Amino acid sequence: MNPTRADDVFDPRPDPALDDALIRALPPPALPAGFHVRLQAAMAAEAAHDLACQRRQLEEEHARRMAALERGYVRLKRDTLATVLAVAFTAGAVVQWGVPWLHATLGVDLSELVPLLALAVGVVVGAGVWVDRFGLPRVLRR
Amino acid sequence: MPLDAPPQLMDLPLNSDASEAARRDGDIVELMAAGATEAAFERLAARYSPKVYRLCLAMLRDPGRAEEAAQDSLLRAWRALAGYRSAAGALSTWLYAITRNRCLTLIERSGPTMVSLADEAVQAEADGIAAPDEPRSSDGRTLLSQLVEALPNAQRLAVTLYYYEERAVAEVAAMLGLPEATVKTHLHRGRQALRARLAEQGLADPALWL
Repeated sequence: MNPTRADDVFDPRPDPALDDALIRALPPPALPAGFHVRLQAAMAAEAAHDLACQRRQLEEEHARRMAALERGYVRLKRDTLATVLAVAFTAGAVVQWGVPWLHATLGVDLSELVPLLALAVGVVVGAGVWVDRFGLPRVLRR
Repeated sequence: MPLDAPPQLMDLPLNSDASEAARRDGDIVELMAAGATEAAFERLAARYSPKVYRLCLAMLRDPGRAEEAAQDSLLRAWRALAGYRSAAGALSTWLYAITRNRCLTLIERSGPTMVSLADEAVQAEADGIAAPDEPRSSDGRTLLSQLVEALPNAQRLAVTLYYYEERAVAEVAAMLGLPEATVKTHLHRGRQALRARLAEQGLADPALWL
């Protein structure tokens, strides 16, 4: 097909009679009644659907995060409990067997020193956790 | 690329009247630039719904499906309007490309139409084809419409849209995504075919057409 050649032979009104007949035979069809109303309704439905989708996605994301948070919280509680139990039993074992053994072997009475040492360790560890969470007390900040 | 994907720059025809079309839709583009997408779409829909519907009707030949395709095309345009860039082509060209793609998808999905000769209308059509020397309709206007319907698809689309769009070749070219010269060629050949077919039917006299 050669558009240029076709352009040369094209006459907008090569046959007025045929042209008139085609104008009458092919009138522009009108839009179906209610076309714009249905279009608006479809747009509104789509917007509502989009909102519903967004809400569902946000709810799913929220539920996922809450589940992750819950899992982390339970694990933290379990780890903390296990640590506390381990430390308590270790301390008990040390007092039960270590102190008499040291007293018998070295002649040193640690019955006063060990609780003080445990208290000091407890205070240092507790203060460390506190500072880690909330920062230094205001009086110590510069 | 799926047929109903939003058109890209390379899909848009380089039309000599593109700048005129862009000027015509300048107000809509300005509204979009100002962030008034909803107002822009309302204006777009008011201006182009009839044209979009006529393009769908010409392509699908079924008023029900044409309305569905037109609604769907406008909805797709609504969704994609925020992403439209005027540098990619005139707004009308972009909208027509969406519409054409939607119609082509529907045509592709529907596949070849199976008809039964038990249907009376189909039987009448078949009788007409079997006896081409006899006019199928005494109504000249109906006969002319039937002859247009029987044209090859490209010519049928060009002729139909040319008369739907008040004989504006540039608009038909934009609607079909074709160069104007090609549309003129289809029009010329379509008219020649119609003339010949009318003569075959013994209706060479224009007085018999209307």
